[in-house]
Amino acid sequence: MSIVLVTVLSSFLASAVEFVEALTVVLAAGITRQWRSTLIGAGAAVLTLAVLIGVFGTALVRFVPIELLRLLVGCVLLIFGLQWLTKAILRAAGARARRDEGALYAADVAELAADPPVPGSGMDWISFTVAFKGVLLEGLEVAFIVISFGSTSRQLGPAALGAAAAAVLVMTAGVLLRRPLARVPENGLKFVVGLMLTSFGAYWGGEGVGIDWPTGDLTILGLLIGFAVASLLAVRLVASGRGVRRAAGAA
Amino acid sequence: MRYLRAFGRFWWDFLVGDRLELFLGPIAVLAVAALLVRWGASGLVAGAVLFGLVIVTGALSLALVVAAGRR
Repeated sequence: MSIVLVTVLSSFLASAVEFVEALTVVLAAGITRQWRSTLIGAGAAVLTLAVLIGVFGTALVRFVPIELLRLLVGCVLLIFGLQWLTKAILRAAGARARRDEGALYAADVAELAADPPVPGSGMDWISFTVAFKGVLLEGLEVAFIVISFGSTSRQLGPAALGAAAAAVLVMTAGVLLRRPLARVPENGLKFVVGLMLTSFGAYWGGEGVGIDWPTGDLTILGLLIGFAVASLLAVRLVASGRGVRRAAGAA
Repeated sequence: MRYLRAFGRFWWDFLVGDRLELFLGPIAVLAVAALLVRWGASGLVAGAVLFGLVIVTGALSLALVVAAGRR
């Protein structure tokens, strides 16, 4: 698989997960209050993220030496990758509650309904702020991932394209369906993205500190398989530990 | 000063959150790998150690979360 395809796929999957979460907030604000202000708020956040990716991504590619860039990016990807992966392992093992978009949507709607009424004309700044904040906060991690993948592999365009495609797909589906995308297997996606981020982070971080990987780019596949096996084992271990405790509690 | 503190708090929550070990762990892992390379270890050895330490970091974090859930 070429590096371009991997870059697009990683950005697409990571963005899809984050935008499903952002969509829940956007829908709650749009349906409960005012669509126009909500969409302007979400659009402004997407624009802000695009500017961040463009400015910081280009600056990193142009001014930071590739070895240092790989070290920094590898470290950031390892941090994010392990955060995503361990969360997904805990959820898969049943040690942590899975994210329920339906319940979160209901909570957001209840909170927004308690706010002051929507003005008769003009902008509803509450809708704008809620949508802007929701999309910006969820999208910030995506921006980091896009910048990391894009700058290190010199594929900023494809990385941004993957993220934009996910944003358009998720937002269009949500606005058409008018309900949160509760059926998207968020935890499975987080598991896969966590594995990809951790593998690329280890590979680029390793290159950054001077490791000459014996099998070149093919090492990434080896790392991915190795981390996947370890993660599946961890799911079983955490789940069995919970089972043992349940049995001990029942005795 | 208040804004500066809020700015710092935001980035701390964003990068570290409640999992300090997952922030410090990767930095330590890469530092160990860098030392091994500096001491002349081959790519295979340094890479294998890096791979193993990443797994140890993840396992340690999971163990901490599970142990905290037990308390």
